[in-house]
Amino acid sequence: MANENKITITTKAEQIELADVANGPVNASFIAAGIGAAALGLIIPLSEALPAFKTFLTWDKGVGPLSGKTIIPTVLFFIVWAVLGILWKGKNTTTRTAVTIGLVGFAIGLIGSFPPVFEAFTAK
Amino acid sequence: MEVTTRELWTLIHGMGFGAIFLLAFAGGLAGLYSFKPEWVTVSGINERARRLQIGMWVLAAVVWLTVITGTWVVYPWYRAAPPAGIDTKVAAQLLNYPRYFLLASKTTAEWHTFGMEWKEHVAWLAPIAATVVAFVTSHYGATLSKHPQIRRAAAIFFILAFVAAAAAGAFGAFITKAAPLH
Repeated sequence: MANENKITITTKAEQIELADVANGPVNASFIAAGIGAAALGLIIPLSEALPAFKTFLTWDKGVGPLSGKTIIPTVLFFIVWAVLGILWKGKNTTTRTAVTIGLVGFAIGLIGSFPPVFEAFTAK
Repeated sequence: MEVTTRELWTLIHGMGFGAIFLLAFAGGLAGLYSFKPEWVTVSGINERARRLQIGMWVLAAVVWLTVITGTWVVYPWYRAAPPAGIDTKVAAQLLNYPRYFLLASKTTAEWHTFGMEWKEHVAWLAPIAATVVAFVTSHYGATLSKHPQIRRAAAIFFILAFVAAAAAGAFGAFITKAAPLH
């Protein structure tokens, strides 16, 4: 015989009021991430095409040109984020545009860091 | 049985920091996805917001530590050139010089020319994306649950961080197997 016992589950219905925050600083971070990622995706093929630039990027003997190639996009990310974050503090901006810039930047970063792509720019 | 300093750092970089991020990713993504007001109570929403903030900042810190130790500690050992007198065409003489060991044979060269060349660059996209996600969670706090567009954007950036970290992590494991650092 099947067990026909039933259990009733009641969950709480509550409300909470919180102060909403402006989206400016978050949108600044989306854009900054896109710019940092795009910088990485552009610096890599550029350093392949220009041997002098690759040499310039060698800021540490052990790490080689990878040192400059990674420090520049990282610093750029934090600088753009700080500048836009200050400018947009307490302000609302368009999230769709910021996210689009961020994602396009990441697409450039992913494409530019893929070896078959950047090796196509290697100086002969 | 012994573990050399180089092996220990490789372990800290990959099996420590790197693995923590990759393993915790699913939990973070589930946390972002399910952070909806209709799915949690008031007390639950505050606890979830705090847990997301702490979790995402820890993951962002861990992924920064992964790329920093990888690039600045382990990578110089990987790419170190052998001294004069060692034949760079003889793999047996290059066991302490992984980059040159891989390049010495046609059967292993692509672990460097494709694998390491991709890994060393793409990995740096991960901490940037993860930091953005962590900032989103702490900026919005509990109100993030009422901003589905921002939550979706954060989830996409989190997935991008995972993709970059997973590509780097997978090749890191393969390369370490093909040419371990001693």
